[in-house]
Amino acid sequence: MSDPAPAPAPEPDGSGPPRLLERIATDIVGLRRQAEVLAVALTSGRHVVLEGPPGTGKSTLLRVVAEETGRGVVFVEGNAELTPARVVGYHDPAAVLQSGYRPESFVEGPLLTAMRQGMLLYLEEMNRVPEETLNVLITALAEGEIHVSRLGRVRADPGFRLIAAMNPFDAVGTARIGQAIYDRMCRIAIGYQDEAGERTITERVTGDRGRLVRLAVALGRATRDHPEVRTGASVRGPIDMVHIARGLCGLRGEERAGRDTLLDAALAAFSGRIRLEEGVDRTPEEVVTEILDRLLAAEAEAEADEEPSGAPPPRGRGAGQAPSHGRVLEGRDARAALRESGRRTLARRELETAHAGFAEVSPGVGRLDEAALERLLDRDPDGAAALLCDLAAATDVELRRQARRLAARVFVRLGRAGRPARRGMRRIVPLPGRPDGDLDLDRTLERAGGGLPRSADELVLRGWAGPRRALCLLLDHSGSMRGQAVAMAATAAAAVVLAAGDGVDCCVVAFHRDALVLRPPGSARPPGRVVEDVLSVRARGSTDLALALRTAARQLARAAADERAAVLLSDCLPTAGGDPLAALAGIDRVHVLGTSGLDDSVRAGTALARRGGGRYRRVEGVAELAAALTDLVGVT
Amino acid sequence: MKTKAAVCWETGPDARWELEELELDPPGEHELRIRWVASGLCHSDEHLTTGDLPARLPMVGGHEGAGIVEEVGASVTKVRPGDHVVCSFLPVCGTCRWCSTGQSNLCDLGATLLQGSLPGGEFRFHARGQDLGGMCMLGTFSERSVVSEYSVVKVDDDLPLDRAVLVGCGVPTGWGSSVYAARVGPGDTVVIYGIGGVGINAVQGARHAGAANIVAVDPLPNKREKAEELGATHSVATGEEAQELVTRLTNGVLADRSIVTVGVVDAVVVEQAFNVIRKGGSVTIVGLGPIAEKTIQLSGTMLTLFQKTVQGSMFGSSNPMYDIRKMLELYRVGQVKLDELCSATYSLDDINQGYQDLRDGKNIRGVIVYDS
Ligand SMILES: [Zn+2]
Ligand SMILES: [Zn+2]
Repeated sequence: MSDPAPAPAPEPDGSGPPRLLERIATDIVGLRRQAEVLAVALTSGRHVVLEGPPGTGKSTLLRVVAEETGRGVVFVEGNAELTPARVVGYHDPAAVLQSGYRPESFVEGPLLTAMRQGMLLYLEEMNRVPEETLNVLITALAEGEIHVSRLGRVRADPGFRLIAAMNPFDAVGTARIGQAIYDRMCRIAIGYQDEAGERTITERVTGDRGRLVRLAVALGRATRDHPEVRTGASVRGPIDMVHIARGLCGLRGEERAGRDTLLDAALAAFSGRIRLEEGVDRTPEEVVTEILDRLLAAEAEAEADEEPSGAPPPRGRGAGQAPSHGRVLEGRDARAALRESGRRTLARRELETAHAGFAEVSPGVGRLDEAALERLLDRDPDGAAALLCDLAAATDVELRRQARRLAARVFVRLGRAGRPARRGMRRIVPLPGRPDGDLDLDRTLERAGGGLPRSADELVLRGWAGPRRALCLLLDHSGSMRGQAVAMAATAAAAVVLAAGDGVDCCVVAFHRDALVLRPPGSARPPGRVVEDVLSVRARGSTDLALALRTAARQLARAAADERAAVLLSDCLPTAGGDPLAALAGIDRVHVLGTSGLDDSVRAGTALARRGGGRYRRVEGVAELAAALTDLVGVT
Repeated sequence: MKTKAAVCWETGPDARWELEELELDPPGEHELRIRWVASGLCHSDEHLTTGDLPARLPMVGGHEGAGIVEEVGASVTKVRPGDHVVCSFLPVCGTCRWCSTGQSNLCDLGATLLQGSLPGGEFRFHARGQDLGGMCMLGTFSERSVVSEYSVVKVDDDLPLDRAVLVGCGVPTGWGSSVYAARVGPGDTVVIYGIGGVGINAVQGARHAGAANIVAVDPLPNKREKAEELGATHSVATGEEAQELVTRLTNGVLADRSIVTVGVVDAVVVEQAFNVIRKGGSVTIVGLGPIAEKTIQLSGTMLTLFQKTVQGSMFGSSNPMYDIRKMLELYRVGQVKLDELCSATYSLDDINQGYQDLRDGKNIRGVIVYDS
């Protein structure tokens, strides 16, 4: 392959770098090293990915560097609707209909502008951009030119650079950024400032200093460490809080902001910014209030050097402690129940008696021989998978940790078995009868028989196909949920979660007498994490199939889908609750993966599948699961 | 051989642990050398430095230890080098009157706990030309110790020793004070004063025993929160609040059991614990105070009229050799929580910080983890 990078651009003038360093020192807090790397990367002809959470100064940095190196910048916001046409450009339909495909009818997109004029193309949120669009960019990076149909070849000016920014914590689509892209770009990681840096920024922007800034910055930083917060606030949060708190103090005539004022400001500045973990049942307001109260208590303690006075009053009896009949637990409660049920650990001596391969796979305390497990997987997949599940519950802390990590990988792999190579993403498809989307000129002309379209019906629009199906996997963890049963459940969960995004919105529920929602529809919880949850699930007494089905219906109702299906992995022999055959409302299809060969079980499973409009399949081991799922519902 | 240890040379309000390199003798008959993996920071060692516990000084601190046997002396049959052990701060001979009647927590070998010498009378630590005792005949604030085989309990080697260490003192003491000493029963109302390393386990024990109301009393919010996490149904900051709450919860009947596990027991808390129990109820005192001070001052008439019981309990009235293993088995099956108890770990060098944090109420249980 020829040299992929365009020739380095000449330095605009000799005074560039020193002035740049000057501006970095004055305008940017704490990013000096990154700024230097960026400036050098750009002048030496590299394309760059800036990776870091929002609000860490990526765009400020880019602006300063771009201005000082004397280049123009074209900004593009990356999102799922950024089609190749919106980056490259498109033929104006009206002009084409008037005078055919001519260069003048082409409306140039930001990529073409940047390439032709040798500017910087700044692509924000690259990891939200669809794969096709990224592919167009690869061509531009690799060849320094792209081919646009009916327009021809467009060469990049040597000054053209792509600067992409992305948030590594943003789970949506991150996995799609392939090696091909990374391989053609340099990467600069930008983290949050340290506390002093954030204070400096906040002081500089707000002109305030002292207690208010200290509290606001501490609050912002605490949101990033809080266990229930997925995405914490950037430094913009503290800045807003200081502004608002100061304003409120003026309005309320307070010399020193009291708790209420601080709380009002904190809520305004942070509650909309933070994103809570999937399934957390508290509100952002509650989390912000908790953090603020903690900070104020610490402050009071430090100031008075005595017992905290602002401490919350003692709480009474916790809610939901006694087990009741047939609960549905979601989010935090489900996870707490899992932690509780996952408490029992297995001693080495128990593991040794239960699994022939144990000594080979774990030759000593704290040791897990992955190669030995892989060999065992080849030889005896079910035995190995069952062993791995039990290892994930070992008393031996180190062994347990390694087993959980390995299990997440192994079960995701088993869940992927038999799965077509197609990448999990949405496709652009014609959208019949829908008024939105991009006009597909060629097809429109084709349909209109070469002439002008006479009615709206003849317009062919293209858009993104959204999820059309919702699928709920129901995992029975009553009875003997050890070893192989856990392995089957983990494999099924991995397979189903992997299917999420293939136009299927997937959720996972484990049930015995209660139902635990491990992954609600629309969740971004990745397969490995769901597998870990399943591994924590331990056997419970009774089976309430009816509750499970009703829970599935309720979860499926949340998903936007044309078809709602449930897959039940169970022996289908309920020991609690009502008649499952009477609990099928709200589910279009119920498929059954039968885990027992007993006559009663097969009969019950078959009857349930028939009444549910689905099919029954008996599965005897992990190796069959993914194939069985594909066969039943075609998701994997 | 040489070993680094934290030593108490003198008592006093400002006394600190001093880190010192000691000479350690090889194990004698019925003795063995342990390389400690972890040691708990228990309040009793603090009592050593303050002088509340009158011990022979100088003494190597620490009586809650878990480690690996390195070398065994003659006639040792209980363990072999390489074995993982948790130590009992009470030696158990197995043959004295107390041991042979199921009260091994009162074993006669315990006579020299505060002397620090081994059962034969020897001292295995030496420095500055002096013999040093080991707290409770262990001295776990040392990288290595020579201890009696009567002090060790062999445990499975897949148990995490930095957690298992807690069953050497605080866990069985607290758990046993509810289950064995106070005999908490299903449906009981229990009040536990002081949520430290012992009190938190009294909470776990009471929960295990099926108490309906478990009221944790502690001035510090973080401790109350931890108590509720591990099973307390209610938590309050003061004895007065406890009295008011229990009166309400029981329609004036009052609590069945109260357990005193505060860091320094005084007459005030004992009286509160006495007043909070019903007719026929019991107060169990587990904590320590200044040894010469009279820390129980009660109306004997009330004691008689209401037929109340006030009792002490050593090691939660548990039997070390049996209950240490039992605690670990309960941990394995998820019924006793250890992971949640360990609130901070320290290196031996930071031991004074660890005790400062204990005094500041920051720790439920701090643990020294040795790096060697
Ligand atoms: Zn102790
Ligand atoms: Zn004895």
